[in-house]
Amino acid sequence: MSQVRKFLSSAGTSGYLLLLGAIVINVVVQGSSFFSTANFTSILSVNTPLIIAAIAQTIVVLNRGIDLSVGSNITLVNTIVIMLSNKYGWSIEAACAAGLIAGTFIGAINGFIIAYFRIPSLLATFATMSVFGGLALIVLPTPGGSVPSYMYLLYGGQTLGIPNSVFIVIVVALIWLLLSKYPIGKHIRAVGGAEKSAYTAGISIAKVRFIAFTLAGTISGVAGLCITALTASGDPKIGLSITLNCIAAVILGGTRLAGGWGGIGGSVAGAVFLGLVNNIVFFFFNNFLTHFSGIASRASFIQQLLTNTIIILGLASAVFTQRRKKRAKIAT
Amino acid sequence: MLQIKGLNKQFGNVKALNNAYLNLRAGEIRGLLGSNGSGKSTMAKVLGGLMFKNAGDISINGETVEIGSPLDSRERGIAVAYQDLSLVPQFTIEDNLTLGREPRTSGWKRIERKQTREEATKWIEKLQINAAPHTLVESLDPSTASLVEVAKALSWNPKILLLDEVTACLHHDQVNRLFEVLRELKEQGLAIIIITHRFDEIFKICDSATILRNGETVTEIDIKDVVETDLVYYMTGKRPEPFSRKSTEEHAKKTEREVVLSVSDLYLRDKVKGVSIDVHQGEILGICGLQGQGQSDFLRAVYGSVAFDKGTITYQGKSVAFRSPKDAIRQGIGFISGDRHAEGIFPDRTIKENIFISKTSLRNLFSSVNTKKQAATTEEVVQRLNVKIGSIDHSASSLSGGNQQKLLFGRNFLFDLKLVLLDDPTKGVDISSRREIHQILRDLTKTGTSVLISSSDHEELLEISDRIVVFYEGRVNAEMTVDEHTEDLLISAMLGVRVNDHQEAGA
Repeated sequence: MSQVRKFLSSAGTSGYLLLLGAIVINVVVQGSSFFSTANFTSILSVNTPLIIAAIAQTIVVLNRGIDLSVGSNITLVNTIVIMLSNKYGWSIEAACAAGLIAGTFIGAINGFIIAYFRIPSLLATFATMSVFGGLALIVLPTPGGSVPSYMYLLYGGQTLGIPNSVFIVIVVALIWLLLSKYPIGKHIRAVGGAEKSAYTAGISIAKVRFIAFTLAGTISGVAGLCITALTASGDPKIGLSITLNCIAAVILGGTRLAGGWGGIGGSVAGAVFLGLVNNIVFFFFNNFLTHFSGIASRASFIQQLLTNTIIILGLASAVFTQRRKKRAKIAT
Repeated sequence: MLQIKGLNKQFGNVKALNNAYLNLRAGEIRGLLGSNGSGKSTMAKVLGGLMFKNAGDISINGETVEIGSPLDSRERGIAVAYQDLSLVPQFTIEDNLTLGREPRTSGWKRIERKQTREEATKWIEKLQINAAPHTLVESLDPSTASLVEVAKALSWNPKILLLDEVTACLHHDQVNRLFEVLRELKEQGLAIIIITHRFDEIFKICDSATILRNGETVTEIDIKDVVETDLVYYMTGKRPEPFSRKSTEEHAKKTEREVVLSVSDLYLRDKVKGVSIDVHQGEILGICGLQGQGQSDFLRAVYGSVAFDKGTITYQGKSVAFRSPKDAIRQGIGFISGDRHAEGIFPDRTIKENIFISKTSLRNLFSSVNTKKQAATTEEVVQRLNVKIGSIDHSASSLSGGNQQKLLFGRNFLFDLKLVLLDDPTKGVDISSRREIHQILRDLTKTGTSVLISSSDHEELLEISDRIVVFYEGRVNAEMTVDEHTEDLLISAMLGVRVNDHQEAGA
């Protein structure tokens, strides 16, 4: 019983519960084919960039910030990798390394502006979102290019029945969980939770904030590499939708936008939930509604409408559980 | 051990600390005393590295030190437990205790969880904190959280410990336990400074006292040489005299008038604990007390901006419980807050709009506003209250604090007021505007309006009130009719000294 209570009061509860609900509905609608390895691999590999971006966003939100430039970061990394490997003939490994460095650098620029010029992260990253998005357009004005086939085969493949993309998520998650065992992980939360108290305890607010955003930049860079491997090409608009989706995933996962409370587990669950909602709506349309010709021609709009309605309900429930927890706390 | 000389700290034109000094030996417990705004907390913040002094010398063990950050302060062996707590609410007790100095494992330098837990457990047991080390701080009640704040300061193993009003929300047994620990630490050579408003605590634990008045150190004395009235004398500059019953006729007459507002046995969470007062027609009733003794919460409960838990409010003969300020306004109750930035002025809107907003608030959201009438009404109010403005179309932020406050009065005058509630309305208002505000209040009472005013400045209350009630820890500690001898009695009552003997019978 106390185990159940502990689970219910942990930060990620809403994310896990929503994910569970989404899986159940998927199974009901899709039947046993949901459990096929091919389906699993496809859902996870398609959503890995979002999952990783959600981890990056979580770190920033825990620090009481928000990063609107995650999508632009991903896009810029994608275009840089394609440009270096296609136009300048770099090996794909070297291009990826350069992309990762670029992602880190983007995070560091965000962090520097936010931490040392004390500009609210919402404004700072809103501006850098356009700057880095614009840079991506200069690097690669039109979609195109390709990556070696072994890259996307490796990314979309499996090891011991587990999709390879899952391993990337695990590695990224482990890096953060390891950092959480060090003071820096704790200090990122402390600064997000109560900045003044953290300062009083002798923590350098600016340094911690800078590190949080730089780290988020690096992880966004990893998401950029994943999306490159997934699409096997470059596209200067590829990351746009990820920014808001990863913020939604963070909220679905129960992390407080007010900072200091939450974790990446919930965010990962939230991101997978978003992916499953897409999957189920898509499946539903393909198998049931295509027979109605009137709907089929507008299918993609209706799909989006349906998907986002479900997301709103999910967000509402996540916010609702948080509020109830707070009230319960006051009552005790 | 600690020597402070000529300490100055200014905020704009206000001198929070002016030539303050303090000398402290190792193994001494010092009380730092003074009334509201005398600079005690400022001194604590300067020592803690949260504020920087403008002038003065701080030396520890004969060595002059500069404290530029909390880290500096800590490295000099100073630890401060703050009144408004320096805890991270989303963290557990143990994570808070070790924040900023986490014990590390030997090989990988990770946070050593076991040692963290052990240390937290040690302090929890020592201070008898009623919570497990892995409890979240946000789920603790205020008294436990205060003890955690003290534990945090102690866990730094300081040479100088500063406790800034931490006993304010502790229970009696918690205070006793804390004092036992402090005595033990004192034996080990710790120098301790305690800021408190409770006289009984001063005599119980302190060896000596430093008394501040208006940012200046008045004296440093041995506690065994003084009695309560001496301390009041040093804090106010006046000797308390026995209370005399000579209340002026005018004041007395007012209490015979009809009761406009009668509150009985009002409870509001842990802020207000059973307050009963009566306000008569045309009377100015002052609410006096140290900061945060429940005055603000009480006024807001009457006004309907927070819901009270228990008790009855009778207004004009009817039992009421306003559910929102709107209901109160409709019944002729006005509210003016001294925190005008948060609860009053719309700084970027024009003076005209700021005044007229009250009129429009009671009407249909889509009813049209007659701009000519609006301008005329505003001009009239501005003239009547003598607000110094450029033009009624200038923004409210162009005015001085005092004039902004007058705008709020003007806003309320558009209603036909029966009762005005004021929460520290002259906070940060210059002396001449203050006088004018007082005159406005007196004029109001002539037309039969009643005034219920809370103020952190007791002299102000003595000047304008007919009667004064003194709040202490959410209760009415004393109620008195104003006459020339009340000041010292008032101060004593504010500090929690029981003045029942002097209290007016049946008032």
